[in-house]
Amino acid sequence: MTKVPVTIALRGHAKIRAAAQQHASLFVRHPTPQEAARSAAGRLPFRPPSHYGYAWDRCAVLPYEHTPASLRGVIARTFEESEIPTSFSRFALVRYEPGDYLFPHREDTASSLFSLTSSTEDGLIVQREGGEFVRIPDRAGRHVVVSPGQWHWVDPVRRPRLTLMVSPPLEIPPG
Amino acid sequence: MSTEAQHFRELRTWAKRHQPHFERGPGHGLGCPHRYLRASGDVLPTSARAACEALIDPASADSELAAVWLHIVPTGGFILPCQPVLEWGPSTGGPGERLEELVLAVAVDGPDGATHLLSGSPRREPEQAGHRLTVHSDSWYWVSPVLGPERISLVWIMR
Repeated sequence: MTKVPVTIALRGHAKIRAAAQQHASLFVRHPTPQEAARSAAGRLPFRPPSHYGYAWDRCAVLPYEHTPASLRGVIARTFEESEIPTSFSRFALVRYEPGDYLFPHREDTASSLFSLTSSTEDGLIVQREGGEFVRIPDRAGRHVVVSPGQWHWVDPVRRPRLTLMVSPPLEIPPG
Repeated sequence: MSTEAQHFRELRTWAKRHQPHFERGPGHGLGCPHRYLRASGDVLPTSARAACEALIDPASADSELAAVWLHIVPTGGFILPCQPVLEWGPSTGGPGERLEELVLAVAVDGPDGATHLLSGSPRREPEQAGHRLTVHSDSWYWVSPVLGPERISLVWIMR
């Protein structure tokens, strides 16, 4: 079985969770009514998409451009305290309630994913080299890089889940 | 222990002891091969076959049992998103032959589970011995990489 190195890179993740909770109303729930209507009208048989927006998924997203300065500050300071370079140009917080999910998909660009919650039941499934797929259980602070073209998804979660997606990906040595 | 639990235990015991009887499971999802093992009901000894027959729900008047397998998804193994009826069903043969449904019955409690997609929303199925999932021709199904012990299930398809 392919082993996935564990990099618990982000300390102080509880501060990001708390700040995100304070701004919970800013998260956009997907699918939005417009996305649901479009999907219902022209629903095609399920075909794992190569490119997608969150319209296929069920989760709540707070992208960088809608994140208030105070929350951006908490994220930046948490990264600094963890000695992680803040060289990313965009990020998004993604919140899941029980039953929420991300369909299997892949993207053109790489990204860093940080778990902000821990769970023995939920996690990220990601493709690795040679057709391998691995399941990475959620552990707060954990950092995973998803490369372009790598399939990845989140099965319907059983517990509330919060992640931070950062692009471009960060180079964090395993420690 | 209930009779059904005893039958599942019989199948689990046989599967764990006779993995050489299992072949690498066919099929692909997301452009990659699945990673699981399967054994046809035809290779099962009398006692295990009897256990299968006792567990398989009786066919309706207008359908018949087309195939039976035992599946093992080992630790680290997976079944990628696929349509099981199309993936594992027998070839459709001539016009008028209609695939009915495929049933997957979990043989052992575990931390893992399958995901079933029908009508647009996926559902994570419980991983409890005896739990049955019926998938139809337009259903999608996958088993994400197994973290716990090997995942054993009984699979049968009705035609």
